[in-house]
Formats: sequence, C-alpha cells, structure tokens
Amino acid sequence: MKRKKHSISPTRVTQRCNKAKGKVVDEEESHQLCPYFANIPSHITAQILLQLPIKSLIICRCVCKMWKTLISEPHFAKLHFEKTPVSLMIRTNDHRRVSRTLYLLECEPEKFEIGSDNHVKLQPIFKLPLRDAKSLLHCNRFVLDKNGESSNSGRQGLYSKPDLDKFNIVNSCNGLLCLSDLSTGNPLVVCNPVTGEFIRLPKATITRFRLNTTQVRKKLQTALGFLSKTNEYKVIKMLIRYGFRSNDCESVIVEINTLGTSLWRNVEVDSQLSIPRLKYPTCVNGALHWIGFEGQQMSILCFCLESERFQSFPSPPHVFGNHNNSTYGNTNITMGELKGFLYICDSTCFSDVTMWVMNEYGNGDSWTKLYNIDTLVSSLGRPNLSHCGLCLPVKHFEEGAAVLLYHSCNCFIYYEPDKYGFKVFQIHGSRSDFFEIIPHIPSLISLKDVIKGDNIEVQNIHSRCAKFKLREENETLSLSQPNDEDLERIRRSSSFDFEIINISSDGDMSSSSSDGDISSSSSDGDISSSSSDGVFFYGLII
Amino acid sequence: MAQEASSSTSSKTISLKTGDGEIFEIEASAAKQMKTVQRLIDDLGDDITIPLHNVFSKELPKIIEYYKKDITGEITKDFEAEFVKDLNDDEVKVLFLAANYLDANKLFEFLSQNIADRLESKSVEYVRKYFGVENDFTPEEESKLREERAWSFRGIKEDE
Repeated sequence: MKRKKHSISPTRVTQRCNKAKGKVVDEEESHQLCPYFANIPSHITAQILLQLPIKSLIICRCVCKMWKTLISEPHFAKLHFEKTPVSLMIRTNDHRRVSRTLYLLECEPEKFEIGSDNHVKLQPIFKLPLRDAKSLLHCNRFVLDKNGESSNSGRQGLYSKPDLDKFNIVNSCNGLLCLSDLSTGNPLVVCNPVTGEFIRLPKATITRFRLNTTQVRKKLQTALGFLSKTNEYKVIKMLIRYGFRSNDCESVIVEINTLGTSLWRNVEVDSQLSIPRLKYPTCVNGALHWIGFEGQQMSILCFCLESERFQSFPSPPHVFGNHNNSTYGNTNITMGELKGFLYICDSTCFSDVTMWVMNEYGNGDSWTKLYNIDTLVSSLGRPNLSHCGLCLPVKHFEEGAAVLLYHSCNCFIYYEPDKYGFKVFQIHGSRSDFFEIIPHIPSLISLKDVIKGDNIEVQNIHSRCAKFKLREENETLSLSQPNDEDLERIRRSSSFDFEIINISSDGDMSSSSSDGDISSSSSDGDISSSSSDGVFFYGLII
Repeated sequence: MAQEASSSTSSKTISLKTGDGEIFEIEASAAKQMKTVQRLIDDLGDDITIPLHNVFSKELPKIIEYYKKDITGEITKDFEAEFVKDLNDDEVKVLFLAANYLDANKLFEFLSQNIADRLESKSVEYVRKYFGVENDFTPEEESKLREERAWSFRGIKEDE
C-alpha cells in the first residue's frame, strides 16, 4: 500500500502508533511535510471521525480499508452512537404503494435557516428489507432480465402489493426498528436501517395466535424494547381478545422474544389485567410504555423488561381527558421519549398544543408542563375539528424549541420561540401526500454484536436485493420553505391561522400578518425552567 | 531565595523553545494544560527552557493564544469561531498534530471537531486527499461501495 513519502513521526506518537511505516526524519523536513496526516495513529483518526454525523461516516467507510474496519469496530460504533442525537426517518405513506425507503433528516437548528429557494436534500437514504423477495421476484418475472434489472424501460421499478409487501414500522428503539405485518400487527423483522442488517423474528406458535377465527375480535400489539443492563433487545407480542359485544378486553396472551433467540416465551399475566386500546409504544428506563385509551379515560401501561412483568404506572396528568366537545379528544394525545424522559403531548385542539414531561421516572407528581403553544383559532372563531392535528414531539434541542407539526397540506412547522418563531417546511419530490415520521437514532452498531446466541441469521439487504427497485424508489425528497403562494394555500385550507413570527432580540414579537398572536407560555405561568430547550414535533392529521 | 522557591506558580512564566529555535513565554498555569510540557517541567525543572522538537514557531503562538484565553475562562463560541476562521486546511492540521503532541486536551478536542466540520458532506475523494491516504480497495470492492453510495446519496458529486 502506498503512502505519501517521508511521513512524520513525532516522538511520543511513534510509541503508540502501530502502523509507523514512515521513517523518522529530521525536524526541518518533517515540518515541511507536517500537513500530511497519512500516518496518524488510528485512535486520533477515530477522534475526528467520532465528531462526524452518520451521513459523513457512511462516506468515510469507503475511504480505505483501515477506515472501514475502524468505523465498523463495535467499540467505535458504540461510542459514536452515544453521541448521536435523535434524527428523523421519513417514509412516504401512500396506502396504494409499498415504501421501503427511509429518508434521514438529521435535525440541527442550523438546518432551519433554509429559505424558499434552496432545497435541502433528504439524504442519505436507507432501505428496509423486502418482506418476501421470492414472491416479489415471482410476480415480476417477466419484467426482470436475468441480471435482476428491469428490462421494461417504460415501467420504472417492480410491481408490488401494499398489503402483502409492506412493513409497518412499530417503533424505533436504541437504533433498531421493529417491523410488523400491516394488517395483523404480527412482528416480523428487527432491522438496523443504517447498516442494512436485519433479523427475521421466529415464527409464532401457531395454535395460540391463530387469527382466523371471526367470533372473537383480536388485536395484536407489539413493541421493541431495550434493556441496557443486560444489553438485550426484546420484542413483546400481546394478543388481546375483545368481548364480542363490548370493547372491553377479555383476555390477553403475552409472549416475549429476546433478540437472537429462536423462541417466543410466555409471559405470566395477571388474569384480572384488562388492556385498553393501546398506542405509542415507548421504551424508557428499561421498560415499555403505552398510552391506554378507554373511553374518556387514559392510563399508561408499563411492562418491565427485566422482570418481564406488567407493573403499575402513574396516569398522565389530570388535565387530560377534560376536553368537552371533541370526539377526537382521546386520540390527539401522543407519547414518546425525549432525552430519556417520557413525555406526553396533547394537541386536541390545534389552538392549544401542550407538552408534558415526566421529570422523575415513575413519580406521577413530576409531570411538568413544558410548552403550551397557543396558536390561533380559525378566523371563524371556533376550531374546526376535522382539521385537528396530532402532534408528536420528536426532537428536543438544547438551544431552541422546535415544534414540528405535520399538516394535511404536507408541511412541517418548526417552532422556536426565541430565535425563529414559526418556520414552515415542505417535503418535495414525492407523489405521495403523506409521510410517516419516525424518531430514530442512527446507529452503526452491527446486529451481530447485539444479539445473543448464534441460532438467528443476520441478513443484509445489500447482499441480494440491492438491485431491486420498487416504483417509489426513484424519488428524491428534499425539504424547503414554501414560497408565499404555498403558504397562502396552507392557510386557506386550515382551520387555524399561523404566521411566521419574527422575534427580535429584545423579546418583542412582531408578526407578519395582522391576525392573532402566538404566545409560548401558558396563562397560569406553568413553564418549567427548561422551557428554553427546544422541541421538534411531528403532527398527523387524522 | 526562599521567597523565590515559594512563589506561586500562577505568576511564573515558562520558556518554550520550538523545533526551529525560537523561544516563547507562557504562563505556568497555561503550561499545566499541556501535559507534555508539564511532564518536561517536572523532569527538567521550571527554570530552564523547555525544548519542543516537534512544534514550530508558526503554530506555537496560536496555541499560546488559545490557552491564554482559557486560563482567564474566556473561551466562548465566538472566540472559537474567530480562532479557526482564517485557518486553511493545512494550518488546522498542523495545529491539530501539535495539540496532540503537546497533549493539550481542550485544544485537541476543539480542533478535531473543526476538522470534522470541514469534512462533513464532502466526497470520498476529498477526504482521501485531505488525509493523504490511498484507496486500497480492489476494483470490485470499490465498485460495490460506489454503487451503495450512489443509492444512498442520489446526486452527490463524487469529486466535490
């Protein structure tokens, strides 16, 4: 392997460098040749690489063999993962098509300086595994030539059937995604989209989870959790039988699988346990949590991954469930994890988006209100219920608040009270109108280092299916601010009015339109001291 | 004499001699931040001029400037931005290597972040050139990697 000639070897460095190929030259020469980094020890290179975002590391993996090994090393991957902030994986969500492409949006506040004439490309792009490559090939056997390339130049990409080929993304936990069957909810695969590796979960024990009887209504709930104590990932599967006439849960069977093992183990459940409608699985502190909706009541269901038992957990703050005139009241609550804390976001009326954080895990009294974003009521004077948005806080910044609201007109709203106010962003480049946003921490940690035991095969999407292109895979998504026309369209179609507010440095708010105002503190002054931190929300219209 | 021996180190200055023979003075408290220098002081005493064979007169003043600010606790984001603003790539690399040699942790971390910022979003070729490493992948490996990259980063120019 060639290196640039006459590399330097400073005395101390040579002692630690195990690849010192250069000769020790005298001082004068070495000064002239100082800029060449060729022989710096790998741990120094690692120090630089650790500061790079995932995007750049993927590129650096291709620089040379030494770097590829260095970046793929478990120790490096782990260190890097610990420093990586939460990013967003965006997937198109068109029910007619199968999307297996994930676009990464690494959210840094600087990114939100983008204007309407520059588009930030959403990249890199990752792929989810194909559900059933063989059947896909079979369906398309007349389309592909023997190299696997599409020979029909008119048709771009393979034909696929959404219900059979699409994966549902259940949740993201500690760098891995859990994928399930869209219709039954059966968990099928756990994957790391960044490395392209995936594991197929063991097949269910057929007798217990037979889903073909129609007398009793059944629902399968699943989630992926991580227990840092033992460095294990576990997938939980709950089959909930509902009573024929009522919505009440009649019985529940719970099974759990430790990633890497080939069996689903039964979990003992208290027979009195009644499981309401569950949503938003979140793994915090070695336990999985869901919000349970039962009529107007809300509760939090908690499953401890260590003891593998359900345990009681305090309910969300009492203000929830107090929405009078809205039938959508229950479902506009979301839950998630930010910086290791459990949060709940209530966006029942878009006019009043509130976020609560549980500051002390397990302590019901520690629910603290972080934000109360008082946006405007529609120009008609009353909120339009059909347009109520669902807000999912995704990202909590250190220096600024960011509320990312996904509106039916395909836009994100980044809310930052101190510097930017509201900023609206749109995703361009896709034929799909809807997107699914998954908060995810990109990780280079290989699945092989994470699973216990050898009986499960770790597969990689790059090995066989790299050439297959589904129809939507020719799209490139980018993010930009809409111009005035687009903004006008968004305003007109919505029940609320928002505006881009410029907040000057002395705290005065000047608005660009004459309607209403936006205040970032609630009227009862209930903001905790961390209100200067930022939040990124993602909202969905129901 | 007794007074000299017991004088506080905070007001003392240490003489550093660069590899090309120039002498610079720094405060003893700043010298403490550079572990290599501190070790040499411990071995050789603080009265003689400390020789630094691998650091030169071009970069040492900048390093001293950084630590001067550090001991007064004035290192802010603005100062750091200003510090690296006019440095070209080679100068940053030289400073970085010097900080490593001197075991000056704070400066070393700051500069490694700055180098990382310079490399962000650059192409493989650029990074290779910057570090002076050669591509040692076989043509097959190289083309496979290139394909994967082309998929993940649609439209990125290879030679930016």
